[in-house]
Amino acid sequence: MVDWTDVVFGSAIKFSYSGMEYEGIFIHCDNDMVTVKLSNGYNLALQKDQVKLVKIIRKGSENGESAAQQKSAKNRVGSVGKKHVSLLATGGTIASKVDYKTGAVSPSEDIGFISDRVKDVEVSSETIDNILSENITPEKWIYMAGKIRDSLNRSDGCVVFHGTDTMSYSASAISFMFSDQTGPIVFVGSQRSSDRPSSDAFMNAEGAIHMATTDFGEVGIAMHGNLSDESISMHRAVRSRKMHTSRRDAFRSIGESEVGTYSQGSVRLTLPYRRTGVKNDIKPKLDPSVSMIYFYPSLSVEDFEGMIAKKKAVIIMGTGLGHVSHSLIPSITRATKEGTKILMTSQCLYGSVNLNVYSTGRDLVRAGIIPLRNMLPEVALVKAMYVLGNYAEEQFEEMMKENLRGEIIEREQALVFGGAD
Amino acid sequence: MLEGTDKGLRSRIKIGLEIHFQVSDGKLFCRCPTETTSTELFRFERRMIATASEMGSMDRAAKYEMERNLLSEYVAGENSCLVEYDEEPPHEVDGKALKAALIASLALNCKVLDNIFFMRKVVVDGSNTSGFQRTAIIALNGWVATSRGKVRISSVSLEEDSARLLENGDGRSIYSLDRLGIPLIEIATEPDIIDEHHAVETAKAIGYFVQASGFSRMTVDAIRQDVNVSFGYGRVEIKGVQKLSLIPEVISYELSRQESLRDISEKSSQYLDFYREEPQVHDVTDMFRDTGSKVLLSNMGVGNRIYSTILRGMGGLMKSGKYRMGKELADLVRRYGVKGLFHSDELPGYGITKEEIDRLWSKTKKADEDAVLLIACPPSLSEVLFMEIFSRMAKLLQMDLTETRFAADDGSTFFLRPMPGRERMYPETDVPILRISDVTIHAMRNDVPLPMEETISMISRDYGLSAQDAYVIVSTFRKVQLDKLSSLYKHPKIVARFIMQTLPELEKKYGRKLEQPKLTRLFAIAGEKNWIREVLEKAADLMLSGGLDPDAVAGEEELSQLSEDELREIIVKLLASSESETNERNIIARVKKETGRPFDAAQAMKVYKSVSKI
Ligand SMILES: [Zn+2]
Repeated sequence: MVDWTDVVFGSAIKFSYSGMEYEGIFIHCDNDMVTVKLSNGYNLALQKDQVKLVKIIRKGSENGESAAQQKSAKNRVGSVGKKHVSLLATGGTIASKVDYKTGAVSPSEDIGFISDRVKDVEVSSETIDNILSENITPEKWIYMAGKIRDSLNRSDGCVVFHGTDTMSYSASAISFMFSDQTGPIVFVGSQRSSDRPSSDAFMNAEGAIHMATTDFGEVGIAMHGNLSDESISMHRAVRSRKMHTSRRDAFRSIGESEVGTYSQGSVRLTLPYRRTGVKNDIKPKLDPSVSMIYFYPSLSVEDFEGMIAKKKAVIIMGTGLGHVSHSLIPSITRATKEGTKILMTSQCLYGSVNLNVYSTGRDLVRAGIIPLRNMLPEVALVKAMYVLGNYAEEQFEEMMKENLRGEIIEREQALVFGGAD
Repeated sequence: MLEGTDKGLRSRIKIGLEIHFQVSDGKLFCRCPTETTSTELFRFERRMIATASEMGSMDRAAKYEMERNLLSEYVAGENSCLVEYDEEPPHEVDGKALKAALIASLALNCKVLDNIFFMRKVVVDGSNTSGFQRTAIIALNGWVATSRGKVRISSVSLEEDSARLLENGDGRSIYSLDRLGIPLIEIATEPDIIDEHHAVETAKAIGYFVQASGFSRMTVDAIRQDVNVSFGYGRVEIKGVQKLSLIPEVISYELSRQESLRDISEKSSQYLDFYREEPQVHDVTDMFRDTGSKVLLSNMGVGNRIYSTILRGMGGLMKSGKYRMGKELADLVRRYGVKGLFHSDELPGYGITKEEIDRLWSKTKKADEDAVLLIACPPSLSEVLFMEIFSRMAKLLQMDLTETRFAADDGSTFFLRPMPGRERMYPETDVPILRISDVTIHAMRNDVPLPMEETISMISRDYGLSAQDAYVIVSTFRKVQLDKLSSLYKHPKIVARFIMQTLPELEKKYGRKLEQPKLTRLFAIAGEKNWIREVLEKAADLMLSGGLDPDAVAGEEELSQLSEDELREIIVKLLASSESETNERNIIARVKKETGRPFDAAQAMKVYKSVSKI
């Protein structure tokens, strides 16, 4: 008498259900449900008490599929004349593969298949991490920076596969850590997993790889520029933001236009940018003692003080030109006196904070707050970690206000107030 | 009976049906409406990539589509949102569509599954923006009663309709998104159907239950049939049979096609190895530099080259009498966008001269029993194209006729693609598994339609229709329409006559269709204004002839019914004119000739009688 516990994943079985016998592939069984794949491809999730295992036709192997799918990372042999770009995978949708039987998406060991379509650039790939990007930490950024430096030392450019959720944070952190770089560093993600024929992973990677062959000496983010598979936009990391939960063109440059575009095999860089340098110079320290507070009406003094306690720096996302309720000003005054750096950005994302226009702003300046002009809040967060980690305390305010990597837009122009296109 | 003369093939016939019904009440995985205007909002483009399919191997159909490497352009209209653009994950399954599928399943005596598990069926031809179609089996293992015994139902599925193809060519397909995501109930039978008439009866019986549940969409392409037929040489899946009446023609066409292929195979199977070894292909472009053939010239003009190969043993079988091997190959190359294909059975001709073909015959060493193929195509395509040609030749000569075909409007069929492989599905993880409780099922039992005969007698009783008319209404899936329109315009007999007779005639006359929302509005107006039949028919005529909206038509002078005074005036004038005698038999026709406006015939007769007495 055969029993469900005897069947392993992938076995061909015969079972009976509602008076009919069917053949299929066994997928999974739990306390009350049996999942089988019919020969026509459909999965059925049947109540265990209604389905009877008739026989096992052929025993499957527990991990045959994944073993067959996972080839080792491959390095194409270099040939004369082609640029060489190294891919580093950190996880996320773009580096995931689906298990076609269960539908489960998991990180892939082999990311080479994403870039197989690119023929005019030599590509080597390496998986350095396997995380969902919401689990990223400053320690991982430091590790990532070291890996990127190593790969730039042996290639013309580096492409980092990353989950899109926190890609702007990571790319900004890397941007601050590299004070000079020999090749472009291009972060790339995908909003549709690579199992889908409509996946954006392939086109995004193709664009990123080509961006990484230029003399762009900065950190960029390459993603779809619109809903079509026609062009890839590259955003300056420290001005980029994920602005949509699901669209392919979720990433936008905030307050400036994209740095460049890739279309039909060629890259056009349209904004001024830092050129690649002669060495890969990194300051691999980040101090995570920074918090970020989104001000809202009714935010209590108690909650506010809880979030700034024991922090070296605090980024506030204030309303409008950079305001918070008057009730918080005594707490801010006390904290800055005790040495906590409190910095102001705006919830508006577009435009600069300005603490001179209204009395609240002037009171905030008196309370010791540091306005960060049009720096994006998330960028200010990682920049504060970077500055705290690598510079003396006296330099903090000056460094935060200095435009290190293009994180501050000196002249904001009218036509780049996005969202409506 | 079928035309086929061969008892052998005929006796091995096995037919199964797959019928797709659109559900009318909003899309399956978003809340966009089913109906839309023709307003175009914007377009976008996608290039589908087939990386891997289920279990790591790519199936033939997917590979085939990928080889075509088409760019798809999508036209987004008002009934589409980010879900249709594949820019947002699917929302919850539409409750009404699910209910419709469950009711159909119960009506067809199926076992409804406890858990509904949506799958992604990979489709890389661009007809789905995601590259797959979401589909789930709702129920299994049922039956439908027919006069020739039960036909088993294998499954009832719920899936999303694909995008509507607008244009195809030059490596680009243009699709409208208006149809994408409309719920489809797919009902598949076992191959229990005995012949083509039985197929029609079975389709009607199944269709009855789906439409009677009240959710079925009532537009031209709302019901589509796929016919699976086998004569012992492999299953042929014929897609897109638009009308029930085409089923017999399609089956008959397929029978004679297969008979002819079997004859060809019997004559030429000794050449099988020749095709397996992939015969030599010659580039003969230079032989046609000065040709008079427009097709070849225009091909050379765009940089295409001309290739030729010998087809051993195929002389006289490409196109003569009942033999049509040429069409088998032409269908194949057309899928690659190749238009210039000629074969020796039709040459000289099409501007290609005797001298040219003599040179070609000697170049390819053609013997009497051979055929020669001449194809103009881009050089990059030639290798794969000839590989496909030779493998199709070998497959047909072995009488492996398994494939997917498409039905044209005239009942003929053409090659669409190889039969899709099995392993082209994987779970849709964005849609949670839906638990169907016994309570849900129990509650729906009350909504299961009555058997067809009971519905016929009910319609005939409630609406005062003849049994014959009631049968036509029910078997042509118009009961829901009759119910709806009769609720707006309380003259069911007039409604029945209108939808069975007047409307089809007008649509034929003007070559355009009256959309459902317009029709509904027309009857709402007719009900409000209490129109007589003649006004209603005139309004429909005006709508179809001018492509107008019902509200626009309702205000037209031409529509206002002749008053009694106006009738009298016309009739008096007619009687006064002495050209020929006006009498009771011709008076109505004569009044009609005098006016474009509608009038009540009975009233006209009354007026005539009163006037002529004077
Ligand atoms: Zn929608």
